[in-house]
Amino acid sequence: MPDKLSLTLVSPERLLVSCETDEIYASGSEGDMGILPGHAALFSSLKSGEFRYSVEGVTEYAAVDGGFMEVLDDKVTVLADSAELGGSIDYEAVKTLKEESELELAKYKETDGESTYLEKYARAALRLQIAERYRKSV
Amino acid sequence: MANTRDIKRQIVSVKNTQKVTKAMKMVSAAKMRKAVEAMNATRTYSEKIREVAASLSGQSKGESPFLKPKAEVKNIALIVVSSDRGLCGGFNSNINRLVLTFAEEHSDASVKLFIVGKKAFDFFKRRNFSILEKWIALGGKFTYDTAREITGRVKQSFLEGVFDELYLVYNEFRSVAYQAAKLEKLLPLSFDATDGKEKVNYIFEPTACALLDEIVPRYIDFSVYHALLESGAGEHGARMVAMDNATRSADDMIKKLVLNYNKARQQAITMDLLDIVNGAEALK
Repeated sequence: MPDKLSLTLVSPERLLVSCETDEIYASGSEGDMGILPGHAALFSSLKSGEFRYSVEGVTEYAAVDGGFMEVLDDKVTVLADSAELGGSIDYEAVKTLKEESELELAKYKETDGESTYLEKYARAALRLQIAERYRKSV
Repeated sequence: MANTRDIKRQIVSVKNTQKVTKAMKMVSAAKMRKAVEAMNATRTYSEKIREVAASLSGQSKGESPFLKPKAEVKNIALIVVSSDRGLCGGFNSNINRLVLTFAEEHSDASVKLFIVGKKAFDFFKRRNFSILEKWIALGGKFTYDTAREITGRVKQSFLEGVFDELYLVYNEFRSVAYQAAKLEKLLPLSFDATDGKEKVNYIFEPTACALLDEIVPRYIDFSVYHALLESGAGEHGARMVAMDNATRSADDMIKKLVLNYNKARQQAITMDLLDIVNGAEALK
């Protein structure tokens, strides 16, 4: 049995990660899941949430806003709608963005525009969470 | 024979134009390089989503309305991708011509247009086409969000039953010097059955059917995004070639003008000499 998983994380706009990993953890639409080498062939949709993988004992974080994951012969391919790596998120910027969108959300509560602001808020909140996790890990 | 001073003025003006075309060529070359990079960055996603969609559709029939062919096709919509700015050779006219031929061939159905880019918009507005929506002045920069905005509107109209079939018309970037106008059927979606590949027994989460329904809208988004990128790279490529041609024509023109200038100059000298010789003769 191979002891590595090769991971490819792509969004429509670019290739984010392509490397060998030991373990992968993703938020599937039916629940969170961990993938280890030797996993059965799987195809799952992802909800927006935390995505993490470990390379030689170091855990890396990424924010994934929904998409799909395929596991086949120890090759994991993630097709994210959009994604950002923990290390590339600007912590301060995301923090202000979250606060802003919180206010906006409160303002547009129970109006037609609520869903778009909710989405914006969720994105910001997820990125902030990932950025915080990334900060703790380094 | 033109005055030497006039010819000189002409030479200067052609030289100035040449400077502009040369600069535009270099700018386009740089922009094209970036656009091609952006296109290459999507390659993995593109291959994967096609593969996955094809293999899923081989295993289940999704329930998504985007997959069901309509019994009767009365209204056809086209997404026409052109550029905002001209000076790029036959880039936009190729697209416009393709759409016109398509409309003639499908004259029994009503053809409606979604237009990206000012050039196609001006062209079809003059010809009284029914334009459902336009996106102009995007500045040639296409992000995935731009594509999502377009498809959001398009998908909504499709679900409302505004049209029964949807085609995508854009310039495909074959090489720097060659863009091919391409017509692609987008809705209702049909995937080629898994091209001879072995079927893998996946564990599907949730079900294959639900996954297919989820992947279909994304496939549409991505197809449009892909078309925008191809067209963007093609536009810069076409402009680069057009400007290169213009620079070369300017060179030819300058050569001709210089020849004329020298001829005129020599003639003027000959005339002067004749005058002097004749004057001297008369004094004898």
